[in-house]
Amino acid sequence: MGDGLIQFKKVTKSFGKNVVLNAIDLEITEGKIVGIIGASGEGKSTILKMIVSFYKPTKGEIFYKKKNIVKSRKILSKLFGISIEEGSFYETLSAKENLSHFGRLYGVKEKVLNHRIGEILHLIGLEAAEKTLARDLSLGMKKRLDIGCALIHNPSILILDEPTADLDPLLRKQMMGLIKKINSHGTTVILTTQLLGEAEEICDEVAILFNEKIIEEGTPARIKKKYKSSNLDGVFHKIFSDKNRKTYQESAEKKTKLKILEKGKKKKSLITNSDKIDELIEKAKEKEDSDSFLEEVKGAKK
Amino acid sequence: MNKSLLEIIHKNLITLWRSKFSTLAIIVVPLLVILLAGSAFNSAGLSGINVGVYSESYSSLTENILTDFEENFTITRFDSVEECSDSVKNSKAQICIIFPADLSEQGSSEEIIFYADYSRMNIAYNLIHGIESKISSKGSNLGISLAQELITALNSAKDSLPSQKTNVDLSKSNLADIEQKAVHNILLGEIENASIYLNSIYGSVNGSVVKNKINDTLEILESLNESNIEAIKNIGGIKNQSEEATLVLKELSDQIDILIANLQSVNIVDAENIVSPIKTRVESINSNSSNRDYLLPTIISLIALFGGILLASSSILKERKSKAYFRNFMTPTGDFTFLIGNYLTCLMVLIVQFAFVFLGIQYFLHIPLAGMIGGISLILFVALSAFIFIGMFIGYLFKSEETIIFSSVLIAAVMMFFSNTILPIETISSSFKNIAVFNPVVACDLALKKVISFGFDYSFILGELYILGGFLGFFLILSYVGRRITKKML
Repeated sequence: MGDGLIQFKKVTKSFGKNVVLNAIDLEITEGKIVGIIGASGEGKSTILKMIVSFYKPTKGEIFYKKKNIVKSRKILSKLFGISIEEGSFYETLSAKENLSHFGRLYGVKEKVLNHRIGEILHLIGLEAAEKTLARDLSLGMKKRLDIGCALIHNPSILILDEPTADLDPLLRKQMMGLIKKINSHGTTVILTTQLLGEAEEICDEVAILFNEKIIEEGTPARIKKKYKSSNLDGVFHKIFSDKNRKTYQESAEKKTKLKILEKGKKKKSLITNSDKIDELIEKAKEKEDSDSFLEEVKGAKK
Repeated sequence: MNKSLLEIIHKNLITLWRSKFSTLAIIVVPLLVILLAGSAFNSAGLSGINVGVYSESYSSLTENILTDFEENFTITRFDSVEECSDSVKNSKAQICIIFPADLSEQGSSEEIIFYADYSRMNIAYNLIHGIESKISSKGSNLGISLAQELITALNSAKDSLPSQKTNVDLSKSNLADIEQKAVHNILLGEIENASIYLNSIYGSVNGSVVKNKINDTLEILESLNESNIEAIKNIGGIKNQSEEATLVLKELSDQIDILIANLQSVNIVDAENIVSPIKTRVESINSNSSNRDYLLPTIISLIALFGGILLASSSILKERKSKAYFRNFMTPTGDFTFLIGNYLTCLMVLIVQFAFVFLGIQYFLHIPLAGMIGGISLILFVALSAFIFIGMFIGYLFKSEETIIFSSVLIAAVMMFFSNTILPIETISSSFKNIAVFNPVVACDLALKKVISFGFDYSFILGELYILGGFLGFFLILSYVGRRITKKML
């Protein structure tokens, strides 16, 4: 990666005894679309939430243009816009009211707020639905509204957590178009996804998260070349090869065990869960569709 | 006020307004409470009370008392003591009274017994007091009548004693005369002289006839002398008796003097003074006259308590459950601004609520509060703020809707139980009482009472305001900490 707009230096994040990220290093380049990919529960959302200082690193430091993000949270908060998987807006406010509300909370001046709302509504394609209450919008519209809320204060960096999750193929395509459009205005986009085809299509750079670590980062082309694969699905297939399988399984079991112990559940469910993961990994070898594989892993871990 | 704060309030009000049921509840529920409480408690005494009675034999006095009772209570006669006392246990009657069979104006050897359910503490004392007053009043009337007879007799004695004393004095005087006139030894010398003379002439006379006549005369004189001696003895006895009688009469006269003096010193002329020598009168310190007026500060306090806690906890829960909660943390707007924004929204809603409540009080219950609105507003502002922050803390403390609603109601109920609402706090144990005096509901209730019932100014409610202010500050800090903690739980 080039000059890092955001830099992770030996960042570890753990919740209680459960280590989610272990001494990761990551650099995000300005003006690019960067994808963080990995299986569910690997810590993709945790990385995003650490960038916006919602979580503090347990160890290590995160910098934005050499400024420590945690120490400069208030100053830097206006530079980031975030949209999380489940959306974050008021269901009982209209699309326009949501934009207006968050615009004011971000301190957007009244003179420019109305103009900015207009721009955002146009960008996310919700002009016709500006007066519709958020709860009455379709799923795709809600996703776009959430991105609109994240963009209302004109951030330099847009962070999107699973922006295409639960969307049908048509809406997924629309969403990717929107992300490209936003990026074309100079906004750096950091997104997470489990859909490797989508990441390959949209991202300038990707970072692959596996077993608490970033195991690969760079352009999709470079990674594919390294693993001698024609697509990222193949890369994943190789990552989940026999060599890594044991490590992954042990890690998954360890994490599951910790979660179960924390919740006071019985060992029986741990065994069942572990067996299911094992079975799914076997199935993954046979399957070409890594999307479906990852969906199943996600289901098993849940 | 910064723009973010205004925006938060604006958003909260829009959200609330769009929830029509919430808006309706905010306005209608407190009004209903006021109207229902106002109508229900608009009386000064007890009504609809069933009194169970039993007596082996209903005397005329008992019947008389029961006739009096029937003006206020519903009387049910039972066939035994057990039936009567059971009627209290199964709530058919609120009190059972057992009258002795021989109850009469002259009194009774047995007592009138009350069976009351003390578990209904708030009514038991009231009821016993009410009924005892009625019976006491009847007893007093009887006592007055008896005392009046006594006074009449005493007055009659007082009037007749001086004339009796005069009679005694007259008798004493008569006896003194008798004593003086009882000369008893005058004739003795003359008889003796006559005997000596006759004996002296006896030798000088001849003739038996004359001598016989002299002898006869001497015998007569002897007999006369003996009679005289006897008479003297009798007179002496009479004199002694007369002297004794004089002494007795003197003593009687003195006693009559003392009686007259004592009777004259007794100034009671009114029988009521004997029955109730000390008169009492209870003057109400309240200018109001019905239970509703006395309860008004408490009702207002309870509306503030439940309104403040429930509205604040539910609004915080709504905010926490909202999808937007995460984004709020992402904005540069600080936690304190959100906290104050939510607080001010709740306060504004409750102010609107209380505006309706006061309009209801003014126009439906006709209780004028306009003159004291400044004091009431100050108390309510501090109390509502305290209750709102307590509610906000509950909202941040728990996660689920059920727990938050349950906790809010529970905490509000505990505050209500340890206030003057159900029983005066003086009736609870001293250790709890020492805590209960710092209960914000008690403080709010007392302060409102001072202002509404007694017309006190601000200087008299400073203590209560400090307590409420303390709660306000304490729960403001706790709410802020709670908000920070919920961020970590996202």
